[in-house]
Amino acid sequence: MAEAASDAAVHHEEDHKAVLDTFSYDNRLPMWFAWATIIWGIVGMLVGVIIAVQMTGLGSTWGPKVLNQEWLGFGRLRPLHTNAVIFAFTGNAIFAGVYYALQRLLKARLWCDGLGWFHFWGWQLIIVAAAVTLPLGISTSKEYAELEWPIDIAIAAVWVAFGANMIGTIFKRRERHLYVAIWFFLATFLGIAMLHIVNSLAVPAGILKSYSVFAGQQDALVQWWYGHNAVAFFLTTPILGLMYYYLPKAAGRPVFSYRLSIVHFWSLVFIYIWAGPHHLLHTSLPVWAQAVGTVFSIILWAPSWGGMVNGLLTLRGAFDKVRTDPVLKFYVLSVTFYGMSTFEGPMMSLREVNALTHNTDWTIGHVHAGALGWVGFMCFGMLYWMIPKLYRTKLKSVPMADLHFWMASLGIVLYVISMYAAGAIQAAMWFKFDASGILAYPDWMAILRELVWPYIGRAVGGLLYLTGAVLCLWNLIATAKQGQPVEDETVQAPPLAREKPVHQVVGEAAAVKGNVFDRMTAFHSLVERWPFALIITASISLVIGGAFEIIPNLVQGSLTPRIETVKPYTPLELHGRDLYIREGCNSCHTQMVRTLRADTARFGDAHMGGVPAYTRAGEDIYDRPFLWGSKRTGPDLDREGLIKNNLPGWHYRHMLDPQLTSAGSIMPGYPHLYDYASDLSDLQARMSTLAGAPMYTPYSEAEITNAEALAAEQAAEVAGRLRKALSGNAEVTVPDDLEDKEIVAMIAYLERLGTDLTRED
Amino acid sequence: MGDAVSIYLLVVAVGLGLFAVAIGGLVWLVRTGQLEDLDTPPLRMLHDDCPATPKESQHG
Ligand code: HEC
Repeated sequence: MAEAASDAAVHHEEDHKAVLDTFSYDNRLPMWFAWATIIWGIVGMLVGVIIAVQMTGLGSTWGPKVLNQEWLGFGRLRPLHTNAVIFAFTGNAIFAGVYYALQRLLKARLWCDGLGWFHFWGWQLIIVAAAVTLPLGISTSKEYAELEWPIDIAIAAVWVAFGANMIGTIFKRRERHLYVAIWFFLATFLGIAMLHIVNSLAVPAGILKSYSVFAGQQDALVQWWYGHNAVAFFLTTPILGLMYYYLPKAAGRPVFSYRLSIVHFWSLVFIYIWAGPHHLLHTSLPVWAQAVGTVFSIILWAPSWGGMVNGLLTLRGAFDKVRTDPVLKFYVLSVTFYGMSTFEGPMMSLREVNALTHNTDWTIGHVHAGALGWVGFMCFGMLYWMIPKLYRTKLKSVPMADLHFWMASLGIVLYVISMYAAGAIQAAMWFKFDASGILAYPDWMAILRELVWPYIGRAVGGLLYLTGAVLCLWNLIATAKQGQPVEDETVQAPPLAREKPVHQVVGEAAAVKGNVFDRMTAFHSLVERWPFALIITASISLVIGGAFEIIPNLVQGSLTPRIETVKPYTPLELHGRDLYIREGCNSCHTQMVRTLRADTARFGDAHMGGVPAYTRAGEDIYDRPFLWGSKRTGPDLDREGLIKNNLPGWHYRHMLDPQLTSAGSIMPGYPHLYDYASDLSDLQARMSTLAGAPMYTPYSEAEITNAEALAAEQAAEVAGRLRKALSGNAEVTVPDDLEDKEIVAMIAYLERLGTDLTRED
Repeated sequence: MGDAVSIYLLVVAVGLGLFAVAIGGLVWLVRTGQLEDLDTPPLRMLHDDCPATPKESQHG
């Protein structure tokens, strides 16, 4: 008693009814995350501009071939770009935004400083690890989940630290009500934790190599359940949380409708998780599962637009401020792009629309409207608002921020329009049949040549956006320099009214007399005290949705029609496949002939002896991971073995320098595959991993122990054929030890693709 | 193939476990009155905190 009284006296010399707690907010952590945001953002966008320039043909069809190098290959840099902008730029922005807002909404300092720094440095280390491993070709190939298993484990650990710090802060809060932004943050934590763990389930086959426990169609479903919901829980819910905090703050007025924001939250949480299959329309996924994806994607439109309207109407009566305040400018455009993307997404989930847009650059336009527009603008707006606050000063240059706004806007528009143009050209030409029913543009190069200008437009748009980000960095540094960092902000707030201690509640509940039901309800008050519960509520919806999407496939998995002739890859082909994954060929090539005539006619019908060429589920059962891909810069390769096997030596010349076979191709050359000898030292380990639990690929004991010899035998056969085909060819030289080179394994794999269905043995 | 199924069963088991706990969560959300006052929270979040400076406590 005496202690409490003296405490109060310290804070309030004069007599006060409400005793205020004095405590401080940790500003250093959000500050550091904010700097990491802009720095990694610039790095990630720079890599994006580099690969956009590659796509214009620089380095392959024109200019010095400097970009045609192992570590600068498109297939290796694209994952670096996507990972950097998603997890480094957006990720750091989310953490900065969450840690700043959370403390203020809960009137409490972050639960644990040490955990916060573990989170900060852990995350930056993971980013550095990604920046090293991805260019080295250490990749799982699963989009936005390319990092190999040791890094995946680190991600899980750091993510748990993030969640623990958030939940710990909620426990010691001084504000009873959890503002809706916090719900969005919690859903982010839970959603990503679940998605990351399930999609990363893999068995290591060495320190930097693993195989997905899921195969083929099932892996595809899990991957896009993850991929779509990574959009939901990494690029949507946390950014909406930021919107619901920073937009009202900057506008100085409450959110238009708090009720609507709650409806927005729950409907997103319930609906998003079901929409994943819209990435797999017209594939071998069961049609009913595809339909579920389409239906839920369309339903998503409603709550998304509810959220957009809610954001924009928050500015009602404050639109004059938008003219003068760059922060609000960024927010307004961000929310507008949210509306645009969440309309376009459902449209692209319609089967007919999807047939045309899927695999084209339209999708790339769509994702950048979301990433540059919705996410990027929200993050920039937040930085322009937060950095001056953290350094207790004003933004150094408003005109400079305005300039950034206009450059970035122009950049996005140029980018998106270019990609829409490219997508429209691709769809028009892929799907065009002449009057007699024959593909009008069978030659892939003829289509590719039409895309040069859109690709140049994209590169210019990206460059504008990147330049804007550099201006932002300069402006923020100048702002920080003119101010004083407020690392610990001391504030006062009334403590949370104490609840009855647990033992008292338990005692009271135990004392209740009556029937079993009465006694049970008495314990309700225990459940009520559980601030954790909100999280769990969100989990239900996530888990129900997730499980429903996966369970039916569980049954399907066992029922996937077995195709007698489908066999596991030979040791050499397996090695070739792993090289395909290392090089990231799937970032330009699909291996999924859809059940559309434009697909089957282009990618194999002529070679199938009368049956249609679309990919059967039963063909992919040994594919770990699946390699269906999502974008066709180059042709589909699922039936490549049938299409090109009658052209001996073609792959050899093509892979060395695509210009030799396909003048004007923007596929990079892979000369290093001709230099490096295949490293088969761990081939046995890889095969026994695949043959072991829980995958049980039917490799015999003998096949595994003789893996290297079997590979050498097949390599000699392939190399022999190549030598024969290329003898006397002046363009290329064939090394004496060709059979040892990686290119032979790669070609063995390419020759195998799609041949199982029609093979005779 | 039956082995891939066991992976799914694991996922389902985890899911159902979470589901059970979650029922309690829903009860909590409603019964603790998190949804009772939806008018003041959006206004209260706009207020900046009172800084604990010496000047401030003189006023108090
Ligand atoms: C930058 C995108 C890109 C990347 C990365 C890429 N390709 Fe290509 N690929 C193309 C394009 C474009 C074509 C069509 C023009 C040509 O034949 O070069 C093509 C064509 C092909 C073809 C011929 C297909 C046919 O039936 O005509 C094969 C085989 C091929 N690529 C294999 C690969 C392999 C293997 C890798 C990885 C080592 C790879 N590609 C990486 C863009 C790419």
